[in-house]
Amino acid sequence: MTASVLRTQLSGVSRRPGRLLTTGLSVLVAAFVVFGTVLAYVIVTRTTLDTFSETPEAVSLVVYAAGGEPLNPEQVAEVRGTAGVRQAAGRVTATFTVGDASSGNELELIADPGSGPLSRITLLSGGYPRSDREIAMDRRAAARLGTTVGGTLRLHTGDRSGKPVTVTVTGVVDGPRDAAERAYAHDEAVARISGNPGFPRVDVLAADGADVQSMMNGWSERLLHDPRAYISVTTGEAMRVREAHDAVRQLDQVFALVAMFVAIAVVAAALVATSTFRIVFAQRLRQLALLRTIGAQRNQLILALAVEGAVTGLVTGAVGVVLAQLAGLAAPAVAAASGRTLTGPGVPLVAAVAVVAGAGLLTAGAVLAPAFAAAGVAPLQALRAASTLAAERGVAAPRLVAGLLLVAATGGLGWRTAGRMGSSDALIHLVGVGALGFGALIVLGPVLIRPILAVAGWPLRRLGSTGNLAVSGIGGTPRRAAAVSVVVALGVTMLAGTVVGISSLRLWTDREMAARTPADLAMFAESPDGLDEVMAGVRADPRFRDVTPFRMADFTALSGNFSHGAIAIDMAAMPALRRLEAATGNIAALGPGTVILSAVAASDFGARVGDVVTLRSDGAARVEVVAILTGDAPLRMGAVLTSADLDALGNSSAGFLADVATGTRNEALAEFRRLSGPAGAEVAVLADERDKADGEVSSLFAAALGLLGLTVLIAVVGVGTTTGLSVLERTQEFGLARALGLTRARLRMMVGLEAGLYGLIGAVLGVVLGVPMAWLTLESLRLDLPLTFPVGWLTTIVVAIAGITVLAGLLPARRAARVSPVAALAID
Amino acid sequence: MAAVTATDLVKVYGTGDRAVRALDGVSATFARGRFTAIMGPSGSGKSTFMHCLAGLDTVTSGRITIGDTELTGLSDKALTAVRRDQIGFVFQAFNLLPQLTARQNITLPAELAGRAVDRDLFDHVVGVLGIGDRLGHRPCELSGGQQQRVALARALSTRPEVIFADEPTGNLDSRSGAEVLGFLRDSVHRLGQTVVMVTHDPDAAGYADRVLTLADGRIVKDTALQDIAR
Repeated sequence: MTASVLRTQLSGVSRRPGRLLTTGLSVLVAAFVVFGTVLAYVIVTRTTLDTFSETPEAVSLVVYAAGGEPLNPEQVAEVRGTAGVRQAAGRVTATFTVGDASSGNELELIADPGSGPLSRITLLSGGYPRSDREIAMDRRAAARLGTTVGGTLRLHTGDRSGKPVTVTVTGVVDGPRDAAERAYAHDEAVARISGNPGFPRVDVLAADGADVQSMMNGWSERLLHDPRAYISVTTGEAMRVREAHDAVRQLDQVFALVAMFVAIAVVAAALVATSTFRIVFAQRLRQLALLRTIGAQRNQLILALAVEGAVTGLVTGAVGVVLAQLAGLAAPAVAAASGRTLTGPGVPLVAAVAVVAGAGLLTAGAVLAPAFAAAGVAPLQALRAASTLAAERGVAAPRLVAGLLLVAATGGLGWRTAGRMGSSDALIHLVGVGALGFGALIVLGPVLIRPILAVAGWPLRRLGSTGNLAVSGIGGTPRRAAAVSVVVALGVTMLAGTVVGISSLRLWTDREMAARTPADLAMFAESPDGLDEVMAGVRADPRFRDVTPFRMADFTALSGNFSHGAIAIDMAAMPALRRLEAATGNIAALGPGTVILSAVAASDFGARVGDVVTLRSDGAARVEVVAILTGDAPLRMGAVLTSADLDALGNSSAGFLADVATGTRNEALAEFRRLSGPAGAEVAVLADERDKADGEVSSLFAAALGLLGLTVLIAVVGVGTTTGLSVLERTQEFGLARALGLTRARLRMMVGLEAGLYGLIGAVLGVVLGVPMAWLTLESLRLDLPLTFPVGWLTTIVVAIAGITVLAGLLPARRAARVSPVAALAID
Repeated sequence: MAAVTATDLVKVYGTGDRAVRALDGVSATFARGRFTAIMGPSGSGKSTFMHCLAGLDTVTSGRITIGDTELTGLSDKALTAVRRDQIGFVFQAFNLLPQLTARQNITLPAELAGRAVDRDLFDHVVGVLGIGDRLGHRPCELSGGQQQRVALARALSTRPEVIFADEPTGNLDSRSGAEVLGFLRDSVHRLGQTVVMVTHDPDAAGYADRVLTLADGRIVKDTALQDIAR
């Protein structure tokens, strides 16, 4: 019995498979994205397992301290002295600041034998270090720090009071890629430069034919009992596998984050599917009513419609999975063409079946609400003319009440959340606020459409009758418009939130960078002799501008435990310094007898604006606090003083900052180095650090945009599908419009504008929802990020979404324009 | 015994000042094996009357009985079952599901009810209506008259207590219209079927045994047409 109802519904599907793909397009895209993510995970994991190795192939055994102290020199000597050990290389990385401690240029010094099977580097020029106080630079680090073979570098450990170590660069090498600047030296040399004897890990190369197992056993007996070092022994092979798995574990975290974004895209797809099926069922309303008239029970219809949804989901899901699989199989070949090696994903059958089944379930679920509504059709509808069907009922009272309740719940939870900002569960609360708010939007959407149209549609109405028709077209079916716009809003909410978050982060890093790296270039002189001449030379060179001298000294705060730097510099001289902001007080008030403190120094002193603090060094300065900064003082200092007060501290050093005015940075740097030669000074490229921070924010932004793009893509698919289906049922209306004299071009434009309006409404809703959510989130994180309203970005998003959705509507618009005016006269 | 009985039917649309009494105390009995036409000008309530009789719409007050079944007060589920099992429909337009063949359309009510199709009745009805060679076609491949004959076959194939026809010839040319009306009359006189037909066309009404005329929600005339040639 139900089978016959089912057949009536499904026979339409089988005769028009294209229609099924249109209906389920959002599900297709979602299945593609989900399975594509699965495949990407498999590819990346396999590639990592195949190619990742920090441990050279030749390593037979690895002795390492699993926690606590590193292996001490006696233990290392014991390993080295064991019979059967051909070579043993200590592994350790020490991080230094290069040049002046304030320059911010960091260098990782890595222990490496330099040649032989245990080495991970190859020598490019010069020679590998032979004695202490000699290092070899990584090629990139050498270029960045401007060092050449034979040059020297001053290395500072993290300890501010410690004396720097001067080392000679003996060669340039090529080593494993990493974000950090790297240098290499023999293990014992690294230990002596860093002042920490012993290594957390020793790689052992066994002699040919040596009994590796007995070596392991021997060490286990003698070394593993050190209660401070927790020493373990494992084979090189096991270590390589473990390193690869650790790398994969990090990937797991990345993919967990990606999965969250994908999940949101899936929700969007379900919303689009619900909306699409609502339209499809509405178009079949007379047919469903006829079935009801001649005796089909309501639940028979619901079941049939749900099964239709499941079938649609299964078919489109399968198509999406197959497309993703094809792309996945093609990935290694595509990568190979660009010179990269990827391991193929194979065919993860279980995951594929799961995704297809999930698509079926998701769609069946998405169909339920429209199916219930459609099956509730009054049999009388079968006898009415089609035109009366198109008119939507108004918003029912229960819906309005439910919507207002949701709004109240959102407000209530939001208020509660505002009360517990900074607590660990504030973020969870915010997720709840977002979900409730979005629920309210879904329920109240139809009510909101007309007011938003009145505002957003205004410019379109000015366009004349076509724009007018488009606005009325949307306004006539507010439920449909709401259903699709809400999905766009979901994407734009997150997009707008991300844009606000990122622009706040960028503003914050800009300020932070203004303090850390106030200029492109800096020169630190060890003695003030000749500095004035050098500075005059730089000033005279048109390649530089904003040449500003400074002097620095160290001091300790009150208790003597915290060491800081103090700087005397004209705070108004450089553009970046003028961007610095005071959390309290007034930066411009700096004068003799006063000080500007960094946030950290102020908290060490426990000082507020107006307090008098004593900075101690060789001498001491008693000064009044006039301002406290939001972060560091320039060049990461703790305090800004006038020159006279700095003199009181004694033991000062001098230098100057400059920005690059014209030409490339590398040319300017070479000239800067040449000019500063006479002063025997060190040059630092502060701009590099700034660029790195900018780059990190930018790539974060790009990644977030890419992932959110998935949701936006599905929303755009939803707009296209909705417009496409609307066009099908409005043949009579279009025919009439054509009969009344609307040209094909203007009809096309009208349909395109309608699609664009769906996007515009969604984008406006998204911005209205997303920006406050982002502000709340930033506040709850308690990161002291400034709240921003990036007008440019938000406008770009709204305009771009409107534009993309117009494009999505143009395909169905072509079909609408083909309607003959005669269609207006036909009944059905 | 009467196939359909209506007692004091009142149907009010809207409330308060805007209330419209579409049916204002209509009572009528439709005997088994008779062909009744309901006539009246637009807005007279004839369509509402038929919709209420057929369980498509509910009445404000009054009673309707089809066979032994009292319609008023039935749940939607029970009402649906009554429509499926005891009523046949023929409409002016949009009579058939476009995605089903003529045969599937005809057997649809039986399948909805989960009953086997009565083969003998099916063959007989199809033979009488002359659509035996059209059973594999879809509605879009049939002429208007042929479509209406398939709809008739569907209505007849369940042996309903009564067939309601709503302007069955409204969309047809006069020859096809005459054929359909002829079949309706034949079904009454040869198969003993009960038919109630709403029409505003006096010629169509001329095929009936009896004509009820409605105006302003009341029956204003009840004419027996004895002089029609049998």
